[in-house]
Amino acid sequence: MNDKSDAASDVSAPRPSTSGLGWEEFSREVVDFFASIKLAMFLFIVLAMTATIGTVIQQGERPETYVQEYGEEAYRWFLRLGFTDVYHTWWFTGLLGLLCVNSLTCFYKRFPSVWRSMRHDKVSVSLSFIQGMKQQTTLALSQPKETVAEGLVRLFAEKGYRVLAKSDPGEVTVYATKGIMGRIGAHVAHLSATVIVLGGLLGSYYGFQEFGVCLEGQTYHIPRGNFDLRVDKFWIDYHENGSVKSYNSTLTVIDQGTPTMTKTITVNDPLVYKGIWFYQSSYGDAWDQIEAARINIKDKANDKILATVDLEWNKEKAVDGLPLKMKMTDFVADFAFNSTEKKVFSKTAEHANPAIRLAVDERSSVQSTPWVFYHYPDLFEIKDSAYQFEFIGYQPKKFTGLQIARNPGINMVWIGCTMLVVGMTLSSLIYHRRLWAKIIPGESGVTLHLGGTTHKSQIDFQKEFKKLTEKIQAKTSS
Amino acid sequence: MMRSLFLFDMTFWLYLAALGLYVAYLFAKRPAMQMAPAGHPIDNLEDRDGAWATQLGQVATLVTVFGWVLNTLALTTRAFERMEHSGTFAPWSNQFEAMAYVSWAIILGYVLLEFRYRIKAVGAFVVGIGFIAMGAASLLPYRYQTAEPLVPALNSYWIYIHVSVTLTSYAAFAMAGGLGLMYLFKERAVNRGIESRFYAAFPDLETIDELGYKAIMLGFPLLAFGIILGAMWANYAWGGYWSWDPKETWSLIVWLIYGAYIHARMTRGWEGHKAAIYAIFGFLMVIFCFWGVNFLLSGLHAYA
Amino acid sequence: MTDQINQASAGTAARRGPPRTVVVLAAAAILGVMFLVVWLQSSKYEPLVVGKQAPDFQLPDLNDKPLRLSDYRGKVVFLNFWATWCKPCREEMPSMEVLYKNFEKDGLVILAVSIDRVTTKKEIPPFVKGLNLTFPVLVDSWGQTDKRYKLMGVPETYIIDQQGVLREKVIGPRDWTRLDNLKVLTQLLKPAEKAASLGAPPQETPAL
Repeated sequence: MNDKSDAASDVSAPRPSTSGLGWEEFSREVVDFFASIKLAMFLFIVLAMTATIGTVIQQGERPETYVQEYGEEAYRWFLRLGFTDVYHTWWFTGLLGLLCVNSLTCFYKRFPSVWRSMRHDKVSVSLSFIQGMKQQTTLALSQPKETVAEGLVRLFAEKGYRVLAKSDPGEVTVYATKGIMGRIGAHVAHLSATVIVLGGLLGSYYGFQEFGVCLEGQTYHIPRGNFDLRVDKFWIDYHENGSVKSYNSTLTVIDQGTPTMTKTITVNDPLVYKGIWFYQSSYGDAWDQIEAARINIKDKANDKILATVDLEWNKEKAVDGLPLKMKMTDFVADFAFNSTEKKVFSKTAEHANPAIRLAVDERSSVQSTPWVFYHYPDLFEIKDSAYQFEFIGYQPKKFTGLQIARNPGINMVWIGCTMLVVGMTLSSLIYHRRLWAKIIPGESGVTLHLGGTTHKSQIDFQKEFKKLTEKIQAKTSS
Repeated sequence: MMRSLFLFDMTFWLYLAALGLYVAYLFAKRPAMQMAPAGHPIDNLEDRDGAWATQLGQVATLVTVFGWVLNTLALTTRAFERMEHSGTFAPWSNQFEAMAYVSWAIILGYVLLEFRYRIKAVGAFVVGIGFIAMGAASLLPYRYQTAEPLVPALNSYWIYIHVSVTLTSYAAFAMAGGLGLMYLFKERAVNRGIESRFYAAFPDLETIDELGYKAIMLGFPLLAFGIILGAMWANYAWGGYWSWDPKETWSLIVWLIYGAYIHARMTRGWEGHKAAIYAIFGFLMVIFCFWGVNFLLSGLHAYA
Repeated sequence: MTDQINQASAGTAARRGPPRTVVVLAAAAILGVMFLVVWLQSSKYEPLVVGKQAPDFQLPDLNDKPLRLSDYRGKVVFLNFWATWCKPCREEMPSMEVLYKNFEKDGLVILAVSIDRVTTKKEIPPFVKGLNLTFPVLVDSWGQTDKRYKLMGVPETYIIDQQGVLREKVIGPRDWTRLDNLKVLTQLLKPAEKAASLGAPPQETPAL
């Protein structure tokens, strides 16, 4: 449970008697502090707590939202402490950095002894060392010490141990070790933390994430990649029960004027070009364009419907039987008027108050460009016109929502993740255990002192030790 | 969908029966009244059982195995039903199925543990949690229990690996939580010197403690792997491998909490009592991450 | 120490035999019982389709008076499931009130069951008052009707005839003032239909 075996091999250099600055002592204290488990525990808990803040308080919202929910005073504190964007504050990044320092110092402090353990085996041990172990037993065997020794070596080797034997006058010591990879695994996992954090920081500073609302048929320039992207097609597939199954966009990359790549993307299947990723993120109804609109043309005098026409976007149409030519030129989903700039714009993306602008040509004498409203058919009258226009229906144009991103740190993050998983798995499944056997010859045979320690997993090792002991007895009694 | 609901229902009842039997096992008459002394190796506790206890224990185990087999059938049937209707077949695609899967994993883990260490007393605690998971699942509103087709974002092969690995880690943490509770029960008995046949079936404190530790040692890397798989999926679906969305963040929080546990175990004084409390606390955090985030916090990830 | 280990192993070797027949039979019996328990209730898995008996329930109204669905046999029941947090429900309710006012005298009763849980239950009285609803509003805060009606969301409306048989299932909101939405309702409410509603196929009747 405690790292006893580590402590045993750590007592390497004696403390120097220092005078003067005491730098050695100080630097050791610093290393000890930064490598300490207590610091690791502290950092884990503090990171956990601060991460919680970001889930309870909505991140990245407009100031009004916070003021409404928590009040002005609280919002000011949020700003001071960075609670509105916790994960990008200097102190959160600092905590992550400290975690890296912690794991690196731990590696620096503890890995050498593991390495030494791998290369130099502690074969010579005293009898009291063996007898002091948690798992130990003493057996009286009738065979000569060489046979017993050989038997042990073979048994341990069969069980996957690496075995070393040493003959001294009067006794034979057999040493077996297995599973050091488990301890190496832990160190690999520690190193991976730094790799991941570095990769994350790299991505944060040098990467980007943007969202693009794109319409079918249009080509968009991607400045960061210096190429163009054309949306050839966008469509939605449905399940039998009417719910959305998938939505897809066919995109073509046009680099220096030549189409280089075409791919149909959908959620979970993005397009990658020159390190820039294009994701199918969402879709919706465009708020500034529609496919087609249906207009009722009414006689102003008697309010009778004279004709109904379907107008396609920005295409002029001559009305049958009437001296009219019409074209739909503009659309807003939520009509609003900016009085200072004298411009019409869409207040929101919601189709709350749809309106279209018509270019009407009556008998080539009256030209008008009225706005006609879906929810308010009789709002405005066109002077000099014999007709009233009603906007009674329309086919919205779907836009495809693309997420555009690049993350230069991502490969580093994946390497770190692999290290983490491999390291953790090794650490969990493999445990470092060692056996020592002293064979001391007596009058009628030998006395075998067998002892073992394990870095982790006491009960399993206990069982293993018991089995080994039984096997040894079984072999020698036959 | 009727067939899978029928089988899930049977699983619920069988787990309830198994729990009842394991509890009865603890209360059954046994001749040897002393509790396992501290530090005593994990000898066969079955030797300490009388005829009644042994038989109850065996029936309990058998019923648990039956329950698990039915759980497997239920999940498989649900997989087929999904395949028919929507082309994907992961039987852990909504909250209900995920809970049923976690139950399945907990019970599987328990059965393996029992076959290896032969401690039936653990059954009351771990099968109890498996049963509660299944029970909570059946209490979910009907619309969470159906096999409706998946939204586009979930329509990916990633659901087979990311979700299953993460859910399995939850099961491991659930087992550790149950063992932590068992530890506290036993500790109370030891401290007050209670010697009853109920506690005679318990193994010694060190064993309970170490089993809990092993469960977390299994869950911890699994959760890490699950989170990483999630990040990889997000990288293909959402434009980035990490967006600090509540579910992602809470999985990380849970991972950090257990990370602190793993490191605490190496410090003297953190085994035993403190570890047991911690394991229970960690499990409560897992429950919040699994349930609470879906229903209480909103975000990209709130798939119930 | 070795002797102890030897003894223990010997003892367990004897105990670890195959479980006795009694044990296997007991487990099998439990398996059988559980199968029966579930099988006897298996009708609850069947989907609720038109032509089946509408599941009965008992819920308190806003005055805490318990009302049962079966109390309304002999009337056409418009059973609507809603919640205070559901916007389409709020939009639909006024048309339901109009429907109620027009057809109550013809034997129509509207039962609006709210599925609000404990946390939003308190919003129900102000909601009802705000829309001036006069039909009975029932509160199902424990989800009693959820599984019985296999609700997939709110609002959902179930038109039940005078014998308690489901005649129409409407998923989602509807404008209940539009005549073409009331086809089934009007058929059921016609006096001539009342006598022949059992088993007779619905005929095309002109709108009222």
